[in-house]
Amino acid sequence: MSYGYMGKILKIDLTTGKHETEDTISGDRAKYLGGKGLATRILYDMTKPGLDPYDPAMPLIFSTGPVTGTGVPQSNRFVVTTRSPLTGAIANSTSGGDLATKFKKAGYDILIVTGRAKHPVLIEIREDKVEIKAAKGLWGKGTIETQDGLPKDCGHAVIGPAGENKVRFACIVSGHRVAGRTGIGAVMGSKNLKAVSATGNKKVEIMNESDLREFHKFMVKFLKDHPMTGDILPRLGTANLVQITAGRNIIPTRNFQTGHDEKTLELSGEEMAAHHLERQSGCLACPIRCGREVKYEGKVIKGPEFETIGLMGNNLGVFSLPAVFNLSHLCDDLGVDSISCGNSIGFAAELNQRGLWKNGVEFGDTGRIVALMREIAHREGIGDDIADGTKRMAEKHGGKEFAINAKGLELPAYDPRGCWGQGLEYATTPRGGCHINGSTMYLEATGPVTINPHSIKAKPPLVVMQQNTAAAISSSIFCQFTAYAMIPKQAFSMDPNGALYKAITTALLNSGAVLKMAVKGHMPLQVLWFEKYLSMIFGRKVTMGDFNEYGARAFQMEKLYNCREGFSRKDDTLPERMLRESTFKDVSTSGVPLDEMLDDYYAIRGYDENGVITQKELDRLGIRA
Amino acid sequence: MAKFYPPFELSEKLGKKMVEIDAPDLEAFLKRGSELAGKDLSAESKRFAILINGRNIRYLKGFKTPLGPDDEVFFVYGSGGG
Repeated sequence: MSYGYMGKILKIDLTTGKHETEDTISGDRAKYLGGKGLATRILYDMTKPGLDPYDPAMPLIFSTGPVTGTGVPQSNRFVVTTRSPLTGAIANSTSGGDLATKFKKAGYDILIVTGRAKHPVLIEIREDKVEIKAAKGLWGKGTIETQDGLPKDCGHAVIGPAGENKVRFACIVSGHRVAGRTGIGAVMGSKNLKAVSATGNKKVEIMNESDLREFHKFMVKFLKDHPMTGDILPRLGTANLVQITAGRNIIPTRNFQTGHDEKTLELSGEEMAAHHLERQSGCLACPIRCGREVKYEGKVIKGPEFETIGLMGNNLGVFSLPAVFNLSHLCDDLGVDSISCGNSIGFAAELNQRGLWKNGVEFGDTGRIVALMREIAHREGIGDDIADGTKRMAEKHGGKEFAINAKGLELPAYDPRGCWGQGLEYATTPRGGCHINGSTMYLEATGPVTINPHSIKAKPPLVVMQQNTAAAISSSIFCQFTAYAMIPKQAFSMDPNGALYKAITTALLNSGAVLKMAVKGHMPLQVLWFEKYLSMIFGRKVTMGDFNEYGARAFQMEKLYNCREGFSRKDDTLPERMLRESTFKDVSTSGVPLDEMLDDYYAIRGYDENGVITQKELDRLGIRA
Repeated sequence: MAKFYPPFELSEKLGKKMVEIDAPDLEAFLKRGSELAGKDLSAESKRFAILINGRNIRYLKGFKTPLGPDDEVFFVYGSGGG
């Protein structure tokens, strides 16, 4: 028995309608832990280079991790992995919601879907039965109505019209949560697969279960006592970030033309909590409850996350929270990623503003933007071009220098010109412009202890460390938000203008050499809850060094996939606007000094000067090419 | 006149998300802001990071940072999410 795993991968071929199982842990798979890491290994092994994301042979992989279904706080998560139709690079996106635990308790760790059904179908997975059913009456429906039409005892992952119509930034929705990024919903749609539903009551075996239950009590109390996970996130949701990103001048405004607007604070988490919040919501077994339910036109609907406020609100010149509630609701129901959608509409508006593409889209025109959302999801009119994302729109209409993406994936709501380490992270993360594969901005701009955001000192090793930790979290799979509690709670009450604060941040900024050693070292201690939980589940000691190595391996596996698809240094970059135009008064350089950081980053990562992973690095981590 | 974007509690009290204050530097700005807000903003600065035009005053001239027309002052606390 492998503790933490159900032991089986379910493989379904929608072309033949047949399914089979194989062992989860075979060969060298144990080295990849689960979640993102293991799914990337499997994707690499199952595909040949150049396979089109919409080819029926392209696998769409739903994976859980060893902590899924164990009751560990914030562990009810799954990740979807494939090749991105938006970027051509590795695609993955994680989600909470209601599928992960129920799928695992049906008896499986991973679901691999290949092929293409002749007609729209859904997959229903139970302990004793796997069925492919006609998606009668569901095709064409929004994600909310679709989930309402599925069995009540199951958890679900569904697509909306955007996925059906292969919008390149279509998402997958589970309950109220979203696996948003990289266009995985379009791959699901290309297979004529509308929904995956699952349920079961099998037990996930845990080696030291009584220890885990005791530690669980401690962790819930710890998270509830921490200012970030026990106060700020439950009270204000992720929208707490509006005030600080406006103050930091890094919230995208009218397609990243500036770093905030005088009206930005109309969209703050405080404003939402004071005037619109009905109640908090959260994923199964999560004590944080960062989700929002808000009042909108006499109804209670899911409230927007910070990213949605940033991109569908501020970035589009929409400064009314109720308007953003509606746009957020439309994103989820139509099944589009609000980050890429907000960027793509913002780009269309700036193209129009500059006369490069007279499309009639204007910043702040909420009514037109609402209508445009439906046109995008159904690929009608100008929505057909916007549905392809900023990179392809720039190829057709121009404006590449202000098409805000990295590797084709649109940037989240932290303008890297005010957090240079985050800029390096965007440029080097294998899936493209993404903030949760490291969240370096937390240590530069948004967190309680921040180092100089306009310095390159220590940033390359810091980004590597952050990326590895995030990859380990997404392979386990924990929620990234637990990581915010890694900063001691005392930091939140320090005088940010005091001597102690200055001493700590100065020391951090000068810690580059130590960080470089830490990245490659193998710390034999257990420090954080991540390795402690895994140790109790597996019944063997997992150290911080082991955890970081799992993360490094998962990250480099993604990198290896990209290298096989021809990605290299030319792709590890940012839009010209981020490199050449400053939004700050009195900052000596004009944009993110990426080139100054990239060589150092590559050296730490074990890449050659062209940004390609070396055999030596693969050997160090035991990765098969 | 520099623009002051106060924390939410204070902006609710003032009934404005932004207040314009005429002051030559941050020290004078805080003094005049305190009169306006009815509370000591210098003391508040122990709870909040102060940002001028998006930059922490730690990397400027601290409380002696000069302020010009349209300069923007924010008080922010550490946060996270995303």
